[in-house]
Amino acid sequence: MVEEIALSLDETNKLRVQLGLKPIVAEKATPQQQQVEKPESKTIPAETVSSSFIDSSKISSFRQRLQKLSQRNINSTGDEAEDDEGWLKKVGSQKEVTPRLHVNMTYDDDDDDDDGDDMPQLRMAHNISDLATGKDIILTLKDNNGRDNDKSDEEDVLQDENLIHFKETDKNIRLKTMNKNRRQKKMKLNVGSNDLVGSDEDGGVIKENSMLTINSTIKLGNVQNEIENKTDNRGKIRVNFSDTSADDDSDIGDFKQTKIKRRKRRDGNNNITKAKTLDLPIKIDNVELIDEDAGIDQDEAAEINIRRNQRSHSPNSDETFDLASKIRQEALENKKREMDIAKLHNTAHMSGLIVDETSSFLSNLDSQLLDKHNEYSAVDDDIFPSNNDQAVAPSTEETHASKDPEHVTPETTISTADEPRGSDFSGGLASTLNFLRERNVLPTKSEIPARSTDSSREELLKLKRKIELREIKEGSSKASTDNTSKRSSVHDTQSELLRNYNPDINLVYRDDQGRELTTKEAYKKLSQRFHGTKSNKKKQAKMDRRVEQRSRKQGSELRRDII
Amino acid sequence: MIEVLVNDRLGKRVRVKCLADDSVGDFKKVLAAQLGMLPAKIALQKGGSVLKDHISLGDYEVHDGTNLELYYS
Repeated sequence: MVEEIALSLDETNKLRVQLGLKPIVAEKATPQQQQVEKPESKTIPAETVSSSFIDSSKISSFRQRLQKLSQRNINSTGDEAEDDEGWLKKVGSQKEVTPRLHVNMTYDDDDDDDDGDDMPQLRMAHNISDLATGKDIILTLKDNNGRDNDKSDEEDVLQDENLIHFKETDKNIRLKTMNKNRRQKKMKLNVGSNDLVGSDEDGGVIKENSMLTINSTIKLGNVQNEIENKTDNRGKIRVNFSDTSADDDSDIGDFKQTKIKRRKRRDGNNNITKAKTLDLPIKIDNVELIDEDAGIDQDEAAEINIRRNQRSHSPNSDETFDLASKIRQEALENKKREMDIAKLHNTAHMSGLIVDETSSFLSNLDSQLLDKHNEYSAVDDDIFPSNNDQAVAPSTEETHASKDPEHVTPETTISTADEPRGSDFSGGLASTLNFLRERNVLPTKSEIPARSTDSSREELLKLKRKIELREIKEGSSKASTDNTSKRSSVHDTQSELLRNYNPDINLVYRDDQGRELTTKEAYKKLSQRFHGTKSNKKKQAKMDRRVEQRSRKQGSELRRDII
Repeated sequence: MIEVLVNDRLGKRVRVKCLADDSVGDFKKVLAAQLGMLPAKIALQKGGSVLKDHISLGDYEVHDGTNLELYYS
């Protein structure tokens, strides 16, 4: 059997107070609680129950509520057929709301008893037909913040916020669709902003029909017809679609079609140039190809070319005199430099060639080496200066590219023939090297090994020098032996300090009992002491045993060694 | 005030009057006093989940007439 323990409220309250909890405040029993507590109240006498739980006023209020609820149910289900078929028919169809609107407004004024004619009349912002949706409508006074100052006489206007919101959204959607159409189809809508404003006003205009008298019933059946008659011409946007092009400019709406401007090309003189058009002839004539060079031989062509070049470089007669004087000056300078050249030549053989990119060096090289070449060519002739004069003249003439055709002598032509190319150093390093190679200034392959032997000799000499230096140093070290005596005294003091220094230190860890520990064990003990921890008894015993065994072994080994 | 039914399914069934704001710990104290034992030895469950002492009955959605399972630990 199930033993059920239950305490009364007073007992539990006592208990709670003893435990330090707040006591439970006795509530007025709800019907549910009554039901719950019925089994418990079996033991309690009936009189007490009736006195405590049943309240006549409460019961009456409950009865009233129940009656109301039952009436509502009857009203709601009164018109409808309660059969299944009727219910099923009703499922798909919407409710047909009878167009009846009761506007009940209560005022706190004392004029409630008066007739409807004296009641205050309020204007509405909407048609009554709009309001008749079968739902409860909340009408609010229109906000006239801006207009109050201008028109103090303006009456209060009632409006439904929801309806206004719907209208606004409707308008926005309509405008969006219009705009979309304009973009997609690129058509002009002849709807001006004025028209749109007008349409808005149509919606917002207060009509005669929308007058509300307070505390009056309105039958919409009649009113609607009237509204329909009157609002036939209202609420429509005036949209004119005119086909005539003349009106286009004057009556263009707010939505103008964008015109893309084309960029115009401009010349330096800011003249706008139109796109160039090529006027091609209808028939293209065949062009006869004529080879003009066909009849001329190659030699003749070469001559022609030479003449052309000469003509292009032909100077005036005054310049020729200047040139002659310059040539003489150069010849004199060259004589002076002969000695230098000889030195340069020697140095070139001794320590290799020095090639510099500076213009002065190149110019020097140019004249000097040319001279030298000429010297070599005229080795047989004993008369050096005359030969030099002869040699220099063509060379300089050559440098100036034989500008005067009349000056061209047979000698010069020969010299040009001898010399493979003109001495032109404008090409850079490569041209100079070529030039030098032609003049046999650069060492040939046979000369290179000889140089290599020279380098080996130099290395040997270097080695010898090093050896000598070492010998000198050693000699100096012998001399410095006197200083070592001073150093030895310092060393003695250091050795005294480091007498007990033993590099082979053998660290031995011992525990409290003087037993030897391994590094691992010692570290464990140290860390445990640091952290204030301990290993458990089992582990400690194990460790002690191990340490003892080890110490015994070591002791026995020592004894054996002694014996 | 709510009344909660506590059943240990071993032959005891207790009705405890309490408030929805009471914590489970307080409820246990009252229950233990009714049963005559220590509150620490009581474990309450609702739908298999153990109720924690510091959370109120209301938070556990213990209403009037709710059944709680009683276990002894």
